[in-house]
Amino acid sequence: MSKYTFFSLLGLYFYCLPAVGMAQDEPEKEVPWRLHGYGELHFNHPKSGAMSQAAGDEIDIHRWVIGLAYEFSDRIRMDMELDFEHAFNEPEFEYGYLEFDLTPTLSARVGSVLMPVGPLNEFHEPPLFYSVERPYTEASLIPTTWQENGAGLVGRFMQGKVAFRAYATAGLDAYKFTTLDGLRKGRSKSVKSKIEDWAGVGRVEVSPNKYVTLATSGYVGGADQSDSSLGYALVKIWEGDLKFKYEGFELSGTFLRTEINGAERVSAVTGDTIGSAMQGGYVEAAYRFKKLFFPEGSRADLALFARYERFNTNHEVPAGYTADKRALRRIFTTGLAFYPLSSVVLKADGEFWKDGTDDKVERLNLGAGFMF
Amino acid sequence: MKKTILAALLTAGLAIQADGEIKKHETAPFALLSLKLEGCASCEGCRTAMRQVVQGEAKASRIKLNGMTLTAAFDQAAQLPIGRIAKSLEASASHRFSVEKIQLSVSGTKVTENNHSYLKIPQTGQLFELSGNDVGSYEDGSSLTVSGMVRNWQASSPLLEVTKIKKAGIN
Repeated sequence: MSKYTFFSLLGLYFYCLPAVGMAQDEPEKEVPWRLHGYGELHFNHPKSGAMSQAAGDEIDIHRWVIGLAYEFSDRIRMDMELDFEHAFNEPEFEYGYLEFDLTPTLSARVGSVLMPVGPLNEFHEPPLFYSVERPYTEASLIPTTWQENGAGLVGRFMQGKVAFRAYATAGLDAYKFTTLDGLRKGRSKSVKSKIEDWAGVGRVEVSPNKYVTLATSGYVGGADQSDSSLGYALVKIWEGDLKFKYEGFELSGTFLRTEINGAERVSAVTGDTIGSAMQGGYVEAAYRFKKLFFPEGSRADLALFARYERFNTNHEVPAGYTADKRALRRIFTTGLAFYPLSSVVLKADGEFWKDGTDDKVERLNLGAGFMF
Repeated sequence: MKKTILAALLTAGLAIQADGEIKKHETAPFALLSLKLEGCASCEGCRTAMRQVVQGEAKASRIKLNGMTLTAAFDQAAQLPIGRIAKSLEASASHRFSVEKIQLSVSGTKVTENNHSYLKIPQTGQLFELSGNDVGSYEDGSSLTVSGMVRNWQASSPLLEVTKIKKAGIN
């Protein structure tokens, strides 16, 4: 751990300290607890992840999340979420942190934080995206849901038009990287995170008006975790995204590139072909028919969307390795999302997959989701 | 070593800056502004955004979130930039909130201009146009505490649809 990281964290601690101490003078709030959560049920024909039409269907309580927030004072709070993933088959500590308001527009967080990479990882509640499954680019390349233990700052400037999050967190574990899932299995999920290697991650979002949001995210972190067999592994991620919204029309796009220094050694140790560069993105267009189909005052809405994704976890491979053609994936997804209320959604869509070997699969998905 | 010392000095400076940020609550606020929002407020990420957007504009003494209702309390007389708060929330980066309803409770002096009744905040000169049956029963110059729904919040003198009106200082 570098001395600069150490001093930065130490500084953050002392920065928060006055808020901690002075909070004793504040009266307790009347109702300090608040429950929140979200959930989603998926039906997939054929099941998700399979590149075969005959793989069989699946219906799954994919995510069912209960969150709890507690306000110790006006300036100090705790928030956490527990995910009973796959009907409690894969319970997960989705996130949990303490938050300290340092100024009216700047807060510090310490704990397990959602990594601010891409538009979806932090804000992934089912009513916030139209497809039954999350965009596969974000699931494979980012990899959402991605949480790590760490600390950092959350703030807003210019009347809320500029927002940022910046954290120092535990790094990934390159020993668990794979050809097709990329970084995904290298997440610690905040469980006894190896922290021989640290990472810095940040995101800046700019909304000049209510129609447009431009954002960029970056991540740099060691990933060998001092495993001498891996040598030196460094992961760098750059991401950019754009959202445009006018009346019922929405257009969004995301591009992401990941580079792994030391991918050759990681490939040799893991036995997989780990891309020295992974790259991809998607564009999505949607139209909300609220004004067309529903009377004024109704809270119902219907969205039609179409999305094209292209990503490759073997975009570039180390010298001496051959890229796995299955790592290149192109997916066209289109469907409908019906909102009886803004926080409840029923979804239906079709996915049309084609990978670099020209294997194809067509998938029908049905889903129901909520957030509160 | 120089960089380490600089980092330590910088963080120490930040710690000093943070000192004294907390204001103690007082019992009777000058104004209570309540905004009913529509949008995502499920997780603390969204709620932190709501707090920071409003505080960036309003400099309220404190903010409370109860479900989708955000209440800003102003202990001291201050400008109430209702239009800017609502606009900032609706245009805030990465979050999509819409402001469904705004309620305000504030103290001021009744004035009449061009046959319209207003509540004037003496300390700031801010005007709120008043509408409601009971408004006419109070003379100009009366110190009033008025509660009601804010309409036309984009205007320089928003309309306050009075639901409750009383002489200031009388419970």
